[in-house]
Amino acid sequence: VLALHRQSETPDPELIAAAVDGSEAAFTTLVERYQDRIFRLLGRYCRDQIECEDLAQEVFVKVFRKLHTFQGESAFYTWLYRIAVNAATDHLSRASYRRLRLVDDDAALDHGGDAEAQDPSAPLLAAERIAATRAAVDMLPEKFRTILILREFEELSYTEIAAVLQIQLGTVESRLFRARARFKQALERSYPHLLPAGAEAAAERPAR
Amino acid sequence: VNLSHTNLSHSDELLLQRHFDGELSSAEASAFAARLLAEPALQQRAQTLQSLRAGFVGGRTHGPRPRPNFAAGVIAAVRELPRLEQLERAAASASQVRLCQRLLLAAALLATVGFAFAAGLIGDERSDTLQAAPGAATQELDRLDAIARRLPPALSLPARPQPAAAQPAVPQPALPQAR
Repeated sequence: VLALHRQSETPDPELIAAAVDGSEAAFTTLVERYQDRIFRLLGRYCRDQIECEDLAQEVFVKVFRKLHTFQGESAFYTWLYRIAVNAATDHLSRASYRRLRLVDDDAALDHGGDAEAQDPSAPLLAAERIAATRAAVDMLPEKFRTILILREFEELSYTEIAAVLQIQLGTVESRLFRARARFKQALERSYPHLLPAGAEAAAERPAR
Repeated sequence: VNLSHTNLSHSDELLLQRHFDGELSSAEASAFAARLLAEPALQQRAQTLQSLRAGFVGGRTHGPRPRPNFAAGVIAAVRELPRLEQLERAAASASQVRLCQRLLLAAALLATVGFAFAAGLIGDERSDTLQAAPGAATQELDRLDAIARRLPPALSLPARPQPAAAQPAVPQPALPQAR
């Protein structure tokens, strides 16, 4: 148990070096450390749990094969995210469908929190907002969808996004701005009641 | 596209976005917070951004989760890698061998046909070209002229131009003039 505990605290570079030297235990620790984040990320692109598992396994196997090429110039997880995003977008283009409903929509209903005590309809509204957000994101072109996923779902900073997507900081900023504009348009078209009153009124005016 | 339908300048839009995303330095953030309090257009835009974010915030915790033995599955797949790579290499080699076989076969066929043609094994018994000895050609033309002479005047052919003086030995019967 102590060894396991120590291993779970081992920094990434040491685990990577050990994994490159052939340590299965070190690579297992890396997988266990990042599997939740990778699953969550890939879940934004996949239709169901099985598809997501297959894709996640493909990602980690690819990571294992390329691990010796990791130079440590960026954080390991941004390198990992890059592989995952590339695998997800390749997967989408292979399957030639735009990404689809996420796996776990019903779970949104469980998240009422304090609002539920005040307003019985709040959980339903929250669930609708989550589902509408996913649907609107799915309508976007891949590059806008990916940057919104990285920023809004995964909460990566501009610098991290730039490292994952291998683009300039200025490009991150402008692409994010355009992605939000497109996202807002999609939301206005399909779910105008989810926008605040001011924006809802503005939605009736044509976007420039 | 204007995100907020307000009259904010593009630089203000980007500044607000950076503020919203926590990308401003503390000094910049303080200055911008003061502007935000004073400018309703910025406030409206910030409210829109906030409402757009609400669905993302709610969805952050949702998504598929790995099975408890997912890592073990990955390790099993990794253990299979050498065998898979070997199979991939074997498949690639087999494919190259097949390609080489087809190229060799095509080359052999071409060589055989070329050799047979050169050796005269593939004769041109029925020539498609209009080649004949001058005498034979003249004879044939005469025969055609004779046929033409027998035709009614309306169907008869125009007069054949006299051949050059290159072949004076063969008499050229005159065709009747077409009218």
